[in-house]
Amino acid sequence: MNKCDFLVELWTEDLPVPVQEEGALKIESALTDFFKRQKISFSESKHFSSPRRLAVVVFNVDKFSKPEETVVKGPPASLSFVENGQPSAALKGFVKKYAGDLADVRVRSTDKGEYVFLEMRKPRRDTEDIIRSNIAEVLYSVKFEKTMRWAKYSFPRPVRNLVVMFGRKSLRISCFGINSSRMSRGFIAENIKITSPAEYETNLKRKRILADKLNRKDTLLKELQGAVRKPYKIEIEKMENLVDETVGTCEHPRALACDFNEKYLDIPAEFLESTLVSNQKCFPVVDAQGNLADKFVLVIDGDSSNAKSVKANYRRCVEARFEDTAFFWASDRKKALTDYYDDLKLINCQGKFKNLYEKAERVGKDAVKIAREYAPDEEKKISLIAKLLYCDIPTKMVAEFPDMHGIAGQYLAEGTLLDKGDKTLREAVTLFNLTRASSVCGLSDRLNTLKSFFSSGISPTTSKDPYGLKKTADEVLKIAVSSDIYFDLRKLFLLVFDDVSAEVSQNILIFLKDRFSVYLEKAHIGKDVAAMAIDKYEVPKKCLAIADALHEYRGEDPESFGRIVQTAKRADNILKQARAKGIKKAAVKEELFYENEEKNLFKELCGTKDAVYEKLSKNDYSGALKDLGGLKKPLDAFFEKVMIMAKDENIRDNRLALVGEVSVLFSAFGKFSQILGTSSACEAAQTDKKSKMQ
Amino acid sequence: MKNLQEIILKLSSYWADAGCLVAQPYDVEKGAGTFNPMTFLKIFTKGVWRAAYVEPSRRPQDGRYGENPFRLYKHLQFQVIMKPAPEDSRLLYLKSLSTLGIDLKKHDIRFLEDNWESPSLGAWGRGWEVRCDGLEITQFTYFQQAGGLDLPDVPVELTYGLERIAMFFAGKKSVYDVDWSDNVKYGAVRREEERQFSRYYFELVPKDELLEICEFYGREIDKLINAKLSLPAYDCLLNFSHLFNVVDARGGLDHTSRTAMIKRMKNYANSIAKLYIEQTQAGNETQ
Repeated sequence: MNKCDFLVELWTEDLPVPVQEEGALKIESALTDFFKRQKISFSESKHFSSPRRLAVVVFNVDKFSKPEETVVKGPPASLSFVENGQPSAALKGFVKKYAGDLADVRVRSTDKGEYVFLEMRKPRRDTEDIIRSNIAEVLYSVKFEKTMRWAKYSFPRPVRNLVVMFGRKSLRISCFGINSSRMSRGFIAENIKITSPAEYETNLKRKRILADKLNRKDTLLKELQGAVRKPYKIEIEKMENLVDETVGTCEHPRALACDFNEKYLDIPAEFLESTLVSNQKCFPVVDAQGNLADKFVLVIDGDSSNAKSVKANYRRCVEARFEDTAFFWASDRKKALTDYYDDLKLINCQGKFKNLYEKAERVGKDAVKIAREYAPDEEKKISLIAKLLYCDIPTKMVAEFPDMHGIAGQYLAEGTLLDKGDKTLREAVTLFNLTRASSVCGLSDRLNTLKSFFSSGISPTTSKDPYGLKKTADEVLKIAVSSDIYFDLRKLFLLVFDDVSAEVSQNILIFLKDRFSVYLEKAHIGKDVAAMAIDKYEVPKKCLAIADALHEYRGEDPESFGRIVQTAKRADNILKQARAKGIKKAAVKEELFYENEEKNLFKELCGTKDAVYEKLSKNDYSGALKDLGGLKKPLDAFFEKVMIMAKDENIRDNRLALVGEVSVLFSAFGKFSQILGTSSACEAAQTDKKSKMQ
Repeated sequence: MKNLQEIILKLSSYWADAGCLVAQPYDVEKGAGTFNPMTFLKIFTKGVWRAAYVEPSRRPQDGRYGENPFRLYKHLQFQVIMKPAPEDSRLLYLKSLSTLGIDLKKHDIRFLEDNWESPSLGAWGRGWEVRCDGLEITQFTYFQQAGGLDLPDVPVELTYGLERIAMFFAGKKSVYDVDWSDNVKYGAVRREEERQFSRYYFELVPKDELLEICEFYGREIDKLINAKLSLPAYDCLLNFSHLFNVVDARGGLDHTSRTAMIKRMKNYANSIAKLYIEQTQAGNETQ
């Protein structure tokens, strides 16, 4: 057997969850790159990550590196030797430059005469030796963004044990101040013997350690499912973050169901859930109707032989937290939501507004202006809610659980300001299930935040965004695309930004456009379609719909899509050339058409134009695009048969005018010039599919 | 079943065996055991330093008039500081839990990422909050900086929440029902104090006057640094910091002045640390 498996395991103090997988991957690629550089062959590799270990197994590693041969051409033989065949200064210099040996110098004849060649052979080397002398450097080369120092070393958390094995043999290496061995460790640093790299996973499994993250996640999900009986369940799809966090804080998850005193169910469910999830890292349980039940599921690391007492301890923690939540809530509810309005004066703001009170006043006014334009029937409600969006910020509940902003306000408003079940206030903050009223309030809030910072000269850069303005801009766009209303950014700006300079307003518009480009690029519609559609960003909802329609069209009928694109580009090129020649734009005169093809195109264009604009006005973008596709035939015939650059200037200008009208119609969908050629378009569509699948 | 004083005794003797000096609480009000000069100043000395002590820690904002079973304006921390951090810090800590009678195999012990920071001391570290069956019982930190200075010998700080641990052992839902000793309850020792101080801090604190006293301490710190008296200057900083916490609990500070005061304390901490290092490394302090 000339091949062996190779194992490195770093046992660390508990690693932050985000660096576990990242660290294992980095070590894996550092090691495989290293083997490749050293010409050591292997079949594949696998990484393991857990709170306390980062490990990589490389399979079927050759016991020897490949011998290497390097040949370098040197000076002509005539210049290389002096009397008695002694090497000349030129030859010595050449050999030195390549760190070679005079013994490896050969004279070979070439077409240009005899030359000296340095023929260096690196013999095969022991993989084991190479590993021994290099692996520490490889491990030190792995870099992280957030590290800590201890002793002389640095890593995300201290490394305390090291296993390095090649086949069944453990290799002695010194790294991070540790001598490696075949002994891994368990939770309390107890030894776990590793018999071979291939058996690494099973050796650990026998000690109830699941080193493979995916395996651990599967186990956790099964445990969670099995922990509660029907009709009760955990809404696992909402718990993705907690699942990932839990997978990163234990090596052997076991789920246990536990009750809590039902009296706490009088507290709004969101508060209890927030306490359970953010504070106690436990999974809330709901009944058949989806209402929070007086139960939760906790996950422990390791053995559940002492389940009864562990559960009792968890229950006491959870109930003590609920007790605190009840205290906050009871004291917050002593006042009505509107009673907190004056307290906003005490909360200072960064940027244009002195305090939250000033901002709230403005948000209220702007929301009414937006409402009059876009949702006049909701004006009354909007004027009531918009300025109260921040009123829950001074409450104890929100101070303790910032996530509850909007939700706490909602509960304080319900039954007094708002009808029970009316979630306008909360939606305006959280942007879930946006209604017309909540979109208007939410927009007024976000636009004023952008205004406040930009007008005080604070705008984000690529790397620095301390006030989270990218998120704010993304929220503006989220509202604009997910609301029923087709908000027009320019119109909104006129309403909301009447108290800032045109320059500030323009900067914000450009910022929103840039963010929207990022959004479109991530929407899996192909980068070129995104680049084409962004031209229509001013009404983001419309822009997105056009982009979707284009993408859909390309997917369904790539051939005609490609032809439309070609035609559009052709029209643009003709116009560009004409402009370059200084030909001025004219209006189409029907009487100047001579050829059948141009007459026909004009007729078709008139009909199609009406149909396209009609469909666009009804937001039927796919339909409009299909109508546009109908122009393909008359356009092809026109371009084929009609000589546009006719000698008679009037005829020429009239034909150019016709092409101009075609181009205007096409531009209703953005810039077709951004679409890649047919073959690259297919590629773009395919890579896009791939990224979608990932 | 362990009561509070047994826990303190066990931890003290365990850490004494591990080479720690069993020190005393420092008699100036403070928000955390880190502020005791046994930690904040001693970590700037050269060589090995290990100490353990109980520190009453006051956080006026957490006052609940003695009504909440869980939160206290003043709680007891058991603080361990070891510089440089021993290689087996984690194991030493886990064994201390075993010593207290927590069977590590039978309870769910978890280390959750929590990077401790004390902006007013210019100190931060990397570490965890340690939970036992869901209850946060210890803050475990490898200091990286203090007084805004890099620490060449990285220390480890362990802060046990004594009331929490006592509650865990007693299986009590309220801290006031915990046994301090076999015949004295925690509530009997402390409840009235929680009631009265919550009232004082939330309702009666004269915030403007306290801010003036802060200014007085600020001037003293400048004066004492000039006079090269790092220890009295540090006492003034402790007073400044406590009064700041009191005023802050009263909601008496807007964002800007709050940030400005924290920055001031950080600068004081930096100057004091530098002066202290200068003095100890010149060998002026009796070790």
